[in-house]
Amino acid sequence: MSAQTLSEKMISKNHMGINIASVTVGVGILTFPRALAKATSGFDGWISVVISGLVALLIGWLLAKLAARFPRQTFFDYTAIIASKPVAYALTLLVCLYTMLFVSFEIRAIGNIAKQYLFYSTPVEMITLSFLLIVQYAVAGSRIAMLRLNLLFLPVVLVVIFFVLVFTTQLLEIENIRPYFSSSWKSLLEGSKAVGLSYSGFEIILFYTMLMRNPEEGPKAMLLGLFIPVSLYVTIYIFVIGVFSAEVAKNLTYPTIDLAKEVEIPGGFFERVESMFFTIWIMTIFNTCVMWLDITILNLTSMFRKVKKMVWILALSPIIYFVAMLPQNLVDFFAFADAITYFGMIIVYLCPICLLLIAIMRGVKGHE
Amino acid sequence: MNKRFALPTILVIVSALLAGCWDQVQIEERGFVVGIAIDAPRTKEVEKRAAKEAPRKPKVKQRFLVTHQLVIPGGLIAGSQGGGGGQNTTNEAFLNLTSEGDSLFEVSRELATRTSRAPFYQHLKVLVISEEVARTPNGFANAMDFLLRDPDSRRSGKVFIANGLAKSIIEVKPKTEKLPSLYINSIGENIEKNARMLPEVRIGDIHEELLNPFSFVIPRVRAEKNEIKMAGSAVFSLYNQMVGFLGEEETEGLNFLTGSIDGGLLKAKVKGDLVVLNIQGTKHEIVQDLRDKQNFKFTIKIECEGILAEAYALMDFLSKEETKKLERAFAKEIERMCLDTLQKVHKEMKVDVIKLGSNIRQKEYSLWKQIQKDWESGQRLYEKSTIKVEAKVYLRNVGSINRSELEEGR
Amino acid sequence: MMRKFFAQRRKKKTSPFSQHMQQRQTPELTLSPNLADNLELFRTLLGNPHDLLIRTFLIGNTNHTCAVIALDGLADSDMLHNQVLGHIQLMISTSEKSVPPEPDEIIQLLFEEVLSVVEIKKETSLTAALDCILSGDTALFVDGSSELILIDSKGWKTRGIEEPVSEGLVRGPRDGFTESIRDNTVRIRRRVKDPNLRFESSWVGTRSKTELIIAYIDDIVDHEMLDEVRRRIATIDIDEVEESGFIEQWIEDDFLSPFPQAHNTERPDKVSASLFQGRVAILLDGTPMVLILPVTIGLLLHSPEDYYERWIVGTLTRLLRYLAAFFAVFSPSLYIALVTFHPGLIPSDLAFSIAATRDGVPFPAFIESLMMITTMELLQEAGLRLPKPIGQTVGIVGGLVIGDAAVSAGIVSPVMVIVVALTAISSFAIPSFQLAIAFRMIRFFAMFGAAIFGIYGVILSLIAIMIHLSNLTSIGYPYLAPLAPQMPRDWKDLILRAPVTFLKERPQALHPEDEIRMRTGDSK
Repeated sequence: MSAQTLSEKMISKNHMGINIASVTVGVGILTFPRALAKATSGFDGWISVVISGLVALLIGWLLAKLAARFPRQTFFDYTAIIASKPVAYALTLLVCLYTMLFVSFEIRAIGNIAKQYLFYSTPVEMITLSFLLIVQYAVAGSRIAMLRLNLLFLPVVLVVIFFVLVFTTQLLEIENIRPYFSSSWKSLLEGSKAVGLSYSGFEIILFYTMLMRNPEEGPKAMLLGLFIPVSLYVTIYIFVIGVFSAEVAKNLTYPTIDLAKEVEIPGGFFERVESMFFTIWIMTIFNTCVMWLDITILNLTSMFRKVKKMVWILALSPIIYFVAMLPQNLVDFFAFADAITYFGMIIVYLCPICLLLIAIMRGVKGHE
Repeated sequence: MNKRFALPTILVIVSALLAGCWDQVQIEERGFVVGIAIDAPRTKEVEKRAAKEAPRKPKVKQRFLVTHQLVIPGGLIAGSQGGGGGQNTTNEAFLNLTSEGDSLFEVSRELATRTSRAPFYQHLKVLVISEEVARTPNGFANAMDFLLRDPDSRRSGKVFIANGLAKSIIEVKPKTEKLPSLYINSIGENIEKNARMLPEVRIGDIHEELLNPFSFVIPRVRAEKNEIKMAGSAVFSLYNQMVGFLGEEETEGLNFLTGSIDGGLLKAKVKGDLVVLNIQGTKHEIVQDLRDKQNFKFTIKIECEGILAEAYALMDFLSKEETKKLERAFAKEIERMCLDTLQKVHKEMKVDVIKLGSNIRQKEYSLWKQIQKDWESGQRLYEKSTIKVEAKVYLRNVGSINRSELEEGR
Repeated sequence: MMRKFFAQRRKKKTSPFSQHMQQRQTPELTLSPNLADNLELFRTLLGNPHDLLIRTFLIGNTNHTCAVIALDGLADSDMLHNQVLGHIQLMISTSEKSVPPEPDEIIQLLFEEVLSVVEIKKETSLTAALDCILSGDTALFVDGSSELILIDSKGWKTRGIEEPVSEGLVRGPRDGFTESIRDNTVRIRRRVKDPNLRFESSWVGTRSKTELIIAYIDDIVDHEMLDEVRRRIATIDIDEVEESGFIEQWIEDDFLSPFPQAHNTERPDKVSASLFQGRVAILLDGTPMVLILPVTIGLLLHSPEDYYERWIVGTLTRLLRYLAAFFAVFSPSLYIALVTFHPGLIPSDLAFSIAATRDGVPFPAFIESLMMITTMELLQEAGLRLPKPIGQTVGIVGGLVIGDAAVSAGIVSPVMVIVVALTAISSFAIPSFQLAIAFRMIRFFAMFGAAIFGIYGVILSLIAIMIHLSNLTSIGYPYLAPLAPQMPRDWKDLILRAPVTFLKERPQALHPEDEIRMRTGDSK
C-alpha cells in the first residue's frame, strides 16, 4: 500500500530469531529428556544438549549465509540460479515433501498427546482435524500476520515454562543430580544424537530470509533463535533429572509433561498447573505447524506461479491429514518421526550446504 | 470455483464437529476416588466362582482385594440451604466399594457395574497397601503399576503400608473430617510436629524407589477405634519386598540418621530427671572411609539444634556448664537411638535404608560402579561395614522461664 | 477483501447509483429574473410545504420587490427579523445613497454594504440555492435579477452540552459532542489551538447531503493514511447517511470481523488526544458520535482516565481491565471446560463442592451456560430500552433475583450464577462498547469450542481469535500493533502507563510525522 506499510511486510532480525525459536520448540521438548537420560544415564546430558546446539548453530549459520547471498529471492529461485532449473524443481519438491510430512507428524503428535492426557472418548481423528483447520485458517491469512503470531505466543510460552520450573525447585533433590561428570564421551555423543532430532526447525531460515529487511543479519538471527531452545532444553533437562532422577526419567514416556504434573503451587488454588502447560505447548506446536505449512505453500507457489494459494491449501490438507492418520500405534509413530527427521537432514542440511559451496565456488550472488 | 467448494466443505466439516462432545461428563456424575486400599483376598471364594464361570481363563499368581473410597459430594455440604443441591439420603460423604480381581484396572472397571458414577482418579489422595500384599514378592510393585501407568493419575498421592487390613484404615470415620482419606492425608502433613513419622512418600517417589537398587521405607499406619495412628515405618528390600516394620522409636532413629527431621522432641535424663528438647532442625553428614572394601567405615555426624521444652530436672539452665551437660545428655540420647536403629537395620534386617549406598554413588561414582552389585546383595558389603554415630546438640534457648520450682521445695 | 471491492469502485467514477440519482433530479434549472416565477418554482420544487417562509417587500421607496425565502425552524427567525429584513428596511430608509435602479446593482449594494451578516454569498444556480435553503440559509431575491443572495442563518435548537451518557468518567471534562457539527468542531478547536489543525469539509449522501468533516493535525498525521481515508470516503455513494455508523461500516477494512475497526466516541477530550497522536477524526452532522481512525486494540482498551490519574493508578487500572477482558471472553468457556471435561484440574475441595451444588441440576453445564448467558444478553438489551430510573433496577433485579430464583428452582447451579455475574461485570468494565459487543460474540464461539473439546477447544478458539486479530487491519495499520509487529517504544503505554515524563514520543504504531511530543525538560 504505502512505503511504510510495505516496510511492515519485512521482518527484523529479532523477529526472525523468534520465528526460529518458535519453530524449533515443538514436540521434541516433551520426549527428549527420556532419550537423553537413556543415552547418558545421568545429569551430564546437558552437555549433549549444548554440543548438539552448537552443531545446529554451525549448520544454521551456513544455511543463513546461503540464503543471505540471495536477498528477496525464494528458495526455488536461488537454487535454480546455483544449480540448474530441473535440479531446483527436484530439490524444492523434495523439500515440500519433507515439510508436508513434518506437518503431518506434528499434528498427529498433538492428537496423540491430547488424546492421552485430555480426552478419553474423543477420536484422535477429530482432535487432529480441528487442529489442522485452525492451522489452515492461519496460513490462509497474510504471511506477515502469521509470523506475528510467533511474536505473540513465544513470550507467553517462555513465561509459563519459567513459572512451572520455578515452582518445581522445591521438588528438586540434589542427590538425583550428583554425581557430576560421570559419563563417557561416547555416551555424550549418543546423547547429542538423541537431542539433535529435537533441534530441527531452524532450516526455515532458508525460506524466510527473503522476508527480512536486512538479510545479511540472518546469521545473527540464527544465533538468537537457537539460543532460546538450547537454554530451554538445558534447563528442562536439569529439572527433569533433578526432580525424577535419571532412572525414572528413562521410564517416563513424556517426562516434561510429568514435570508439569508434579508442580504444586502452595496455597492450593492452581493445583493442576499442567493445564497451563498444555495450553502453551499447544500454542507452540501450532506455531511450528503453521510455519511448516506456510513454507510448503511458499515453495509450491514459487514453483508454480499461476496457481493460487488457497488451491494449494485446500488440496494439500486432505493429503496431510491422511498421512497423519497412518501410524497405527505409538511405536510406529516414533519410528515415523525419526524417519522424517533423517530424511529432512539430508534434504535441508546436506543439500543446501552443498549448494552454498557450489555458490561460493562459482561466485554466484543474487541481486537486490 | 474455489469459493464454491470451500463453503460446503467447511459446512460439512463443521457439522462433523458439532456432532461431537464425546468426552462430556458432567461433574456431578463423576465418582471422585480419594482413597484406595489394597489387600490380599481373605477367602478363595470369589476366585473359585470366577474359575467356574470361565474355566479356561489363564490363571495368575496374585489377586487383589481393592477398596475404592468414592466421594459423595452432597454429603460434604453441611445442611444444604434448600437450594438446588441434591438430596442425599445418608449424611455420609463417602462410599467404600470393595471388589476383587487380579488386575487393578479390571477392578476399577468392575466398579462401573455397581455404581452410577465412573471412577475418576485425578483427586486420589491416599493409597494404603496392606502388609500382606507388601510381603509377597513383586506384590507391591504390581499393585503400583496401574496407578503409575495411567496418564490420568497424579504422582502426588501419598502411600502408606497398613499394619493389618488396609480396608480398615479407610473405613475409619474420624470426627474432625468428613472424608477418611483427607483425614489420613492431613495427618501425614504433621511431620513437623513429630519425629516419629517418616516424611511423606508420594506415588512418584515410589516409582523412583522401585527403580533404584536401594532399599526404602514407607510410613506405616494402624487403625484404631475412631482414629488412625501414623507412626513407624515399613521396610522394603531392594527387591521391592517388605521385610519388616520399624517401631516408633526406631523410626525416629532412622529419621536422625537420614537427616529428615523437621521437628519433634528428644527426651533425656539429667540428674535423674527428665528434660525435653524441642527439635528445631538437624543436619547430618556422612564421613566415609572406603579403603578396605570388605570393611567400609562410615561415621554419621548428626548436629541437632533445639530449644528447651520441658524440664523436670532442677538446674540452672542459664549457666554455661549446665547447658553443656544438657547438650551432652541429649547427644547421648540421639546416639543411643541411632545405634538401636542401626542394630535393627544394619545387623538384623540388613537393608540400607540409611542411604549410605546412595551417598557412595554420589561422591565416589567410579567405586560405586564396581561394587554396585555387591552392596546389599552379592558380597553384602553393606553388612560387613562398620557404622559409627556422633551427635552434637546445640541448645539455643531455654524458653520463657529458667526454673519452674526451687530446689528447696523438694 | 474490502480492498478489492474498493479498487473496483474506484474505477467506476460514476456508479450506476449516481447516474440513477442524477437522472432523477430536476434538470439544471436556472433562475429567471422574474421574482414571481422564482418563488413559484421554489414552492413547486419543495411541494408547497407549510414551513416555507416567503416574505416579499419593497426596497425603500423604490418599486423593486424583494423576497426572502427560508424554512421555518431551520433559519434563525431572530436573525431574519433583525439582521436581514430589519437592516434592509432601516438602511435603505436612512441611507443617503439612492437606491440604484438596476436590480443587479441592488443586489450588489445589499451584498456589500447593507446586510450585516458575516456569511453571505451570491448564487445563480438553482440547485445550489435549493441545497442551501434546505440547510437553513435564507435566500434573498430581487425582482429582475437572476442572482440571489444566500445568507447563512442557520439556527435551530440543539441539545445543550452535557456529559456523554455512556462514557462518563470520574475525573475528566464533562462536555460532550452534540448533533450539530458546528458545535462539535468548536469543542475540538477549544482544545487544539494549533494552526495546523485542519477540518476538511465535504458532504455525503445524495439525498441527505449530510455534512462530513475530516479532522487532523497536518504536521503530525501520516499523510498516506489520510489519503486512504479520503479516498474511501469519496467512494460513499448512498442515499442517506444518518449516523457515523454508516461511514464506519463503509470504510472499514474487514466487514466480516466482529471487531470494530474504528473507534467512536462522544468525548471531545478523547478526540483531541487522538488527533495529537496522529489519528484522524471524522465528524458527521446529525450525530454526536465521532469516528477515530485508525484504531488498534490498545486504544480500544484504554480509557482517558488512565492518563488523567497518576501512573500507578493508571497502570493498575489497565491491568485490571485486561484481566476483565480475559474474563469477559473466557469465563463461561473455562467453566464449561473445567466442569465437564477436566474436573481434575480444579482443586479437590472446590471440585467436590461444585459437584455437590450441581447435584440436582437437570441440564449439562454447556446448556446451563448458554441459557444463563443468553438471559444476560437479553437483560442487557432490555436495560438499554428502559427509561433511566427503571434501567438501574432491572440490572439489580435481573442479576440478583432472577439468578437466585433460578438457583432455588434448581435450574442452574450457584456456581453458574457467579460465573455469569463475573462475565457481566467484566464486560461492563471495558471502556469501548463496541469492543464489549465483539467480546459477547466471541464468548459464544469459545463456549462452543469448550463444549466440544474442553480446554483444548478453549485453546484452539483463543488461537483462532489471535489469528483473526493478527490479520485484521484498520486503514492498513495492523490491529495488534504495538504487540505484533513489535514496537518496543510503544510498550510503555500499552499495559503499563509509564509516568508522564517518560511518554516523550507519540505512538510509533501510527507512523506520525512528528514524533516528539515532549521536550526532555531538565529544569523544573
